[in-house]
Amino acid sequence: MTAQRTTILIGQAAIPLVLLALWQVSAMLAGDFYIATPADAFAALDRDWFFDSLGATLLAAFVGFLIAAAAGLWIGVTLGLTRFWGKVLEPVTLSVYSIPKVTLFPIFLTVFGFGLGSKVAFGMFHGIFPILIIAMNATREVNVVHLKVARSLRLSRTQTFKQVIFPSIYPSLLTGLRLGFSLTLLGVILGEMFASRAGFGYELVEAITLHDMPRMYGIVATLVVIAFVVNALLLRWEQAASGPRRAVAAR
Amino acid sequence: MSEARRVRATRWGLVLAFLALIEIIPRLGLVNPIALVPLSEMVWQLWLLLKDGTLADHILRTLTSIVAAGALAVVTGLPLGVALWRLETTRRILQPYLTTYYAIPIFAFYPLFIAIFGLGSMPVIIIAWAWAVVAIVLQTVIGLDAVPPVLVKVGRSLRLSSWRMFTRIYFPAATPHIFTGFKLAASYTVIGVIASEFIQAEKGVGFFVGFSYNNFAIQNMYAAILLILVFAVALNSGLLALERKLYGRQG
Repeated sequence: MTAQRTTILIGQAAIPLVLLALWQVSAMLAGDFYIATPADAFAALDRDWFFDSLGATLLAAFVGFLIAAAAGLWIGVTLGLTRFWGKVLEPVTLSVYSIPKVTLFPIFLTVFGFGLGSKVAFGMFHGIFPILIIAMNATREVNVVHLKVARSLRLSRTQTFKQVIFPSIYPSLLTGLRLGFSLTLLGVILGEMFASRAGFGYELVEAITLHDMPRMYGIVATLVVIAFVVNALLLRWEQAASGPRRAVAAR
Repeated sequence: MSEARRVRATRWGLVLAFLALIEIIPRLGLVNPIALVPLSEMVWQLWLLLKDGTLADHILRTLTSIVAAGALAVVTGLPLGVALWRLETTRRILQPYLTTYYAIPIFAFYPLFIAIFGLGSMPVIIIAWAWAVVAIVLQTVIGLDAVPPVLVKVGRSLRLSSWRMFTRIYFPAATPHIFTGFKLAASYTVIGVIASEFIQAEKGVGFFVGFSYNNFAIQNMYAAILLILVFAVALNSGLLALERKLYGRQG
């Protein structure tokens, strides 16, 4: 058993190296017109713009995520508590979740203008749905007896939320927040690709226009690392909150 | 009225009210006429575009890409899922990576595939496939894991061969989960194809939205957005209804 555990840990540690090696080999096979080598990509991450872009993208993602989390939690819990409206709106939210949101970007651009506003709003629009849907479903699962106790103790709405609802939905909510953050980041990057002068999305489009392969690969690799690290941290938090249960989520 | 009917009536009422707002707001001049087009004009414009064949090529390209990517995801995802289910160690090595997979902003890879394969269906299909396939893999593993032990015991006591165990016991018992995988994969494929086309392409309905926007053809843009939304929502509701009918549960 311990031997198997060691194999698994070594295997998990080896995966990034395997991916890096695959990247290197494909770059050597395809040539640097098509694929930049990892070393070139890393060297292309120039200090002049890298930290500015990192700051811009993370700031937009963070602001968008905070709004998505607050609004998603509030709407989700409200819909979870009022069963009628929850039933009315659930299919609607699921439908909006499943549409190709990118095509709606021109509308965001018209409403929020070029720059920070539209990319934050677009990121939020991507991130809010998993948070809302998961908060709604988790609130429905809150033990009815607990809610009745809260009512007979005459707890205020805020107190009921803090003392009864929040502790109960907390583990699922973390899943929602993790998925929500990933989608917010995606939304922000897409927003930057179309309408911004800052951030990794913008730099990526610049690199495409100039056919600057090392920079393109450098940016994409950075985005993958950011997404992976943030997600792994949130996943760890989530698993600590929900106990040693298996967490395989398809979404 | 029963509750279910009231829920449905309210939902449709809200949807109709929303559609009515899209019609009325631009007509009353509450927003800039180049920002939003009344719904009736979107529908009329869509009808004209469909009738004169402007959209035919784009629709054909988009549908071909969706079908190709979806089929590819099924053909590769199922065997990979089965293999991963059998190979316990490999699965445990890959698990944290599979859980984080959907955190990666996949569209950032799209320019890389354009650089390698050139502008056309190929990079679009690859992105859509890459986004959809993992949902099928994960759901296949989950489904095969969830096969009730009783069924496995029945198979064993009938001394079924391992092939027959798989085709007669495991696979049929896992189909509800696998279907959920297909459903997710379908919406991921649609999003993957249309979003990629919107980012950069030379054909396709997603491309048509961006192209119209860049050329200030707002009516054409909204007509195409309408077509995309109707298609995505119809596909999703259709699959959801099919799932409920086949397996009598909510996805």
